[in-house]
Amino acid sequence: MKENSKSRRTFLLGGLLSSLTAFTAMMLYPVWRFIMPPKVPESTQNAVKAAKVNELEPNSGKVFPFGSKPAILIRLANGEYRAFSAVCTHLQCTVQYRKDFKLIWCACHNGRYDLNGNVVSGPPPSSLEPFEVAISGSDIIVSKRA
Amino acid sequence: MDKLKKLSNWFEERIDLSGIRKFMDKKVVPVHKQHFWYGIGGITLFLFVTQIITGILLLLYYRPAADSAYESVQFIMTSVRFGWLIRSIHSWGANLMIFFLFVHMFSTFFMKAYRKPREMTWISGAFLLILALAFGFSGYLLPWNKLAFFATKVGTEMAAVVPGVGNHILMFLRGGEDVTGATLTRFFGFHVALLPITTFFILLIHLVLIQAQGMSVPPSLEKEYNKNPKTMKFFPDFILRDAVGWLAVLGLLGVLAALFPWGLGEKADPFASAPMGIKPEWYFVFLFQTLKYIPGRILGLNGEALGIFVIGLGILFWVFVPFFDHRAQKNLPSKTFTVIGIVLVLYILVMTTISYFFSS
Amino acid sequence: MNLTDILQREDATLKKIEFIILVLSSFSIAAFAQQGGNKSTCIACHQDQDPPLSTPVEQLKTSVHNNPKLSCVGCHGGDPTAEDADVAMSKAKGFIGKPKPEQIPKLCSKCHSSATFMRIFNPNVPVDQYQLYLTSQHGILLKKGDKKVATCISCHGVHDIKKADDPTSPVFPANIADRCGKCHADADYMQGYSIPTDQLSEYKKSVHAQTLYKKGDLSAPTCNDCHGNHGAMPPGLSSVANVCGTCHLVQSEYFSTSPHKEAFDDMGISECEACHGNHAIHRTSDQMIGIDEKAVCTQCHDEDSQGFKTAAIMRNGIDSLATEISMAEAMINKANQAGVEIQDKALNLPNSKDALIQSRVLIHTLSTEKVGEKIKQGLKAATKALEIGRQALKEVGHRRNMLIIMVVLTLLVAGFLVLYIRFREGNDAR
Repeated sequence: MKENSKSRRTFLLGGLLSSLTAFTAMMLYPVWRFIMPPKVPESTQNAVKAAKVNELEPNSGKVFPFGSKPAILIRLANGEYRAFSAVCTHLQCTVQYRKDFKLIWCACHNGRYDLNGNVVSGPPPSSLEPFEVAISGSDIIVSKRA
Repeated sequence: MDKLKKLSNWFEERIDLSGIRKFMDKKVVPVHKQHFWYGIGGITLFLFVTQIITGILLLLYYRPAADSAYESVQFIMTSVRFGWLIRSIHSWGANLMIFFLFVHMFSTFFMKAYRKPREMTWISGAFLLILALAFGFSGYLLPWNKLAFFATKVGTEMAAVVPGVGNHILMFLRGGEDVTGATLTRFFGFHVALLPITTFFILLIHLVLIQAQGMSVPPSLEKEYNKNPKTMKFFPDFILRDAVGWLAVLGLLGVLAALFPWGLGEKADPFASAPMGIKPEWYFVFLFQTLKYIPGRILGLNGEALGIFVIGLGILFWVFVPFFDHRAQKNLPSKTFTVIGIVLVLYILVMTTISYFFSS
Repeated sequence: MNLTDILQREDATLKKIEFIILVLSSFSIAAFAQQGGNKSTCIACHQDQDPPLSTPVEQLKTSVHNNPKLSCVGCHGGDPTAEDADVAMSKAKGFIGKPKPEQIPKLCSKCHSSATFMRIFNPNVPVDQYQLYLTSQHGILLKKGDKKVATCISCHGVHDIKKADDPTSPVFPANIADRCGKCHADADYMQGYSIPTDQLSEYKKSVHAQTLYKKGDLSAPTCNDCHGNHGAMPPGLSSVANVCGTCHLVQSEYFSTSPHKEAFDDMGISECEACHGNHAIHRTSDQMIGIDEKAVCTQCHDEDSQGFKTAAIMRNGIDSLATEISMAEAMINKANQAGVEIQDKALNLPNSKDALIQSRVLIHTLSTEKVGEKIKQGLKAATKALEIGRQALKEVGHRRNMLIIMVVLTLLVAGFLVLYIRFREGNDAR
């Protein structure tokens, strides 16, 4: 009896300890992966590198992703940069910059916004949300207004 | 085993652990029909420890400001490896902890564990309940999503109803008139600093009392138990059984996190109007629903204020129940209080059900 | 007795009071007399009458013409100061009674065409309505002696005229179609005219009507947006594209540079209307392009024509892009439902959807190259979105597998624990 119970004990303890080790490893693995920072070390939802400094010519624009929605960066004829949400306030089409009109234009129903994002003509009911533009080194950073 | 002995000798030569050893050896747990309930407190504690661990992990990436909180949680959920897991475990863990806390509270209540000499254990436990609810309330806001924003708005509005100091309480909680980024920062401070340190000390009192006084046997089983008192050693027998429970809870957390991951919803917009059917978290719902039923004015007094006053009285009664239940103090069966407990449990269940299924 | 005498009298105080009362009452009488304009005898007399004589007074209260500087005589003539009805409403005093329909436009234009007059009230209000009216079908027929046509009051009302941006005005965008329909949808009234009377009912079926009435988007076109309001006239056959193009600029430009423009104009086909209809313009669908019976292309193009081939190519392209997009979307939604949060940083899915919309618009160029190019762009983005969806679904599977391993391990440890506990307790019992 004693022999049997001793070997049983060894087996049970052994099984317990080994499965416990595997279990602990399984628990610690995700924790380890979690604490090691991911490739992109921080959230870029609120500030995005829209373009490089000399990428845009004066009187031109560029649509770029900002979070999960498009945004538009325009460069005025005098070199100044401005940025807005590129989601048209009428039916949410993506707007674009028209060199010839010198305006922000929506292809869907010919809605037009001036260089301050305000509606000039067409069906849009309200102006485009303005964003902050900052130049950091050779990057143009667009971020949400506070 | 030999190595372990060597190690313990090294410690014994430097500090006299014999007292602790004896205590660990002597500590027993009564064995009877209901002794299974003795493990529930341990499960609650285990879940609290899980919350601390996952909470600290989340702290590595979370940002407590209105313009980055939501995005940081989104970052955790999408970019950090296993971020979704840690976050979902933390959210589910909070709910499970409060659930088991309620089970623990009601089981000790029905087993009349609050009678002499354990009144202080019960009262410290009541404080722990309030702290846990505060943890839940403050933590819920931290992702800064629409649901949490409005739930916090509604919840803190209740504070203003308290006569006299109500507005001051509201301003203190919100960090201003309205729920804003200031509220978020404040709640974060509560959640990761103020509440943990307070809980640590009260938990310490609670646990020391339990260790010093041992487990209580319910009066209904006491006679039978005293005829043939069976016990089980705490170390290692009861702990091993505890461990099975903890393992099961851990497994449950994993399953919940994987199959029902906690969503994020939309970012809070202070200027948007509240969506329909805003409710606080489930553990507050029965109180919320109760307040909904109170008429605007009762006998010329503000209905809500009266309601909160009555609820306050109820809470005081509950906290000091050891001093009201005289029969239990004398180890006599105290059916009245059992009935009160059953009514309360039913009330909570019914009100919660109504709120989720029958109320807009 | 003069002022000084009064004031110097012995019981001066009492007389001072008398004097003050005298002064006050004379002021009030003068003030009363100065409240001219709407306190004319026209109003004073008519408001005590029964309807319909009193109705204009009621209606005037909410009218844009309810202004002290304007009065009934402005349109009706007469004397607003005369107490006697016969004098007030005499021909000698210029009273014209109820103006005849053919007199109305000129009557209104007396004020509304005068910039100097209108400036007094609103410097920005247009003053070309009468000029425009004369070029309209209504104006032309009125000149020819047709008294059934619409004049100013047919649309604007008579005494209760409101501004066009007032929701209760009959010329508020959401109300215009029904106002036009009052005549144009009345088959009996329109007897003798060679135009149909189904415009209103057809319009109400259209996507424009849905947008205007159901969505409440006031920028959606109603009758006057295409026909003009004062200069109302259906657009000429070769200017339909221009009219539609005021909103649908891109489609109009593409159409006007395509072979269809010349062909349609030569054949007397009214441009956009040929495929889209005029009043019952429905929401477009991909089914309109193609080679089956539902498509509009086959209305003209036979199997062996170039147009037939082009239609087939364009439809195939659009279908392939639409399919790829819906597959990607389905995958991403499935992953979302299973709790995997997706990050489509380069906006692949929205971009592919944009490309699909643009290809659908590009078909108006009839150029398979242009449409094909856009479809290619869209497919590139859609394929990337599909890949993102696939990865996300893979992650779902990954998590399920990890979960199974975790559960198995947990049960294993728990199993060993339970067995060990049992073993210990078995031994202790011995």
